[in-house]
Amino acid sequence: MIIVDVLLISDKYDFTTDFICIELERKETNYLRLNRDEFHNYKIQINSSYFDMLITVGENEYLVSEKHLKSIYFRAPIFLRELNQAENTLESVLYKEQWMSFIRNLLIFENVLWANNPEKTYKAENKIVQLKYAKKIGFSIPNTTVTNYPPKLHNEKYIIKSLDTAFFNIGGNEGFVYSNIIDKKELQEANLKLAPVTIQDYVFPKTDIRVTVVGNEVFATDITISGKGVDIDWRKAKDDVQFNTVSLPTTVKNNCIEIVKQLGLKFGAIDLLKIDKNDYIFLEINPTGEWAWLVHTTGQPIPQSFANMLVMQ
Amino acid sequence: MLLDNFYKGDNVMAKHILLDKIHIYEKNYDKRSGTEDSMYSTEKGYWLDNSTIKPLVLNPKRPLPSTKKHDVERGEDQK
Repeated sequence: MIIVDVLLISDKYDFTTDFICIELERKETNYLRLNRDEFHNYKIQINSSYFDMLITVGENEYLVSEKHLKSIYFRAPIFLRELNQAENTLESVLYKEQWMSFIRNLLIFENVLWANNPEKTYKAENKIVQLKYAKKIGFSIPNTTVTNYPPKLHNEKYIIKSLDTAFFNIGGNEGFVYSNIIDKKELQEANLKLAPVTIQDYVFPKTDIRVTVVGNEVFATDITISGKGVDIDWRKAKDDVQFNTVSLPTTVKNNCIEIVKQLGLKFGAIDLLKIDKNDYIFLEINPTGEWAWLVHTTGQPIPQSFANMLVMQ
Repeated sequence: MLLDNFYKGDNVMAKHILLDKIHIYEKNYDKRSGTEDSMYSTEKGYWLDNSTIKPLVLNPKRPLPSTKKHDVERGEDQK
């Protein structure tokens, strides 16, 4: 029986989790990675006698007990946005709903470190909540209106984006709504009634900064094309952009750590705009943000940072 | 019923602006991409290159498994 110190909830094809398992192995930690797409291959049970979890994976038996467990690394969606699409079979819906409920019930392990706790992520995913916290902490934030009718407009250009991830299946293809630059006239005449949109002041020149916070460690990356900031949503030009590690002013760095803490998280991927040497604007924080692309492109030791945090206690 | 008509555009002059701005791309996402000639170790919790038996994600000669940069955009919490 292997007593688990670190539990990882992931997916077999989530390569980001590979990086952390490699580091945990180097540290000779007793860890167990459970993949959401492989639950049917495990023997797994939780009993109310001790509220421990017993798992058999292949030849190995594992015990996950609050008495020994140090941390849980949680890589699973909080909002099941794709679940009710017609292509899902009854079996698929049953599998996803019931196992997702099962892993949410791992919240029985209350006295361990979660990166991140889904309960906290549920709140922290919300963009208006994020802006409120950011402003309270002392970040500059863009003037933002969330509305289903065009507000009074004073500028010539605005950024318009969805309030939540907007992802669609369209006749066999997929669709995604990026941030869009829109002029005043188009926005004034736009139809917004059906769903709220996020309207923010357009800021340029600017440089996009991705900040990855792991506990008290901060990794900042600027995103440029030929050394200059990108006007459009950089994800639309992702084959042309470069990523470089940068340092942040102490106040901005501390604010990044603080917003992660105040939202009850241990990890956050924060999007900032750099306007000037010491002038940064907070855009949003992703409690389930991606970071493996930064390991590949900048060499930032994010996996080591995660592993250190997960085994600490 | 009224809302159904509304969705269909009976009461709407133009398409909602977010629907108007959708970036449509071919559905070619395959989460297994990059795992050719490799195997997943249940015990280790990571993928291994079949020829070297070393971690797949640390092999610089292989195409990178899906990442934010190389993957299509699916929203950051659709892991």
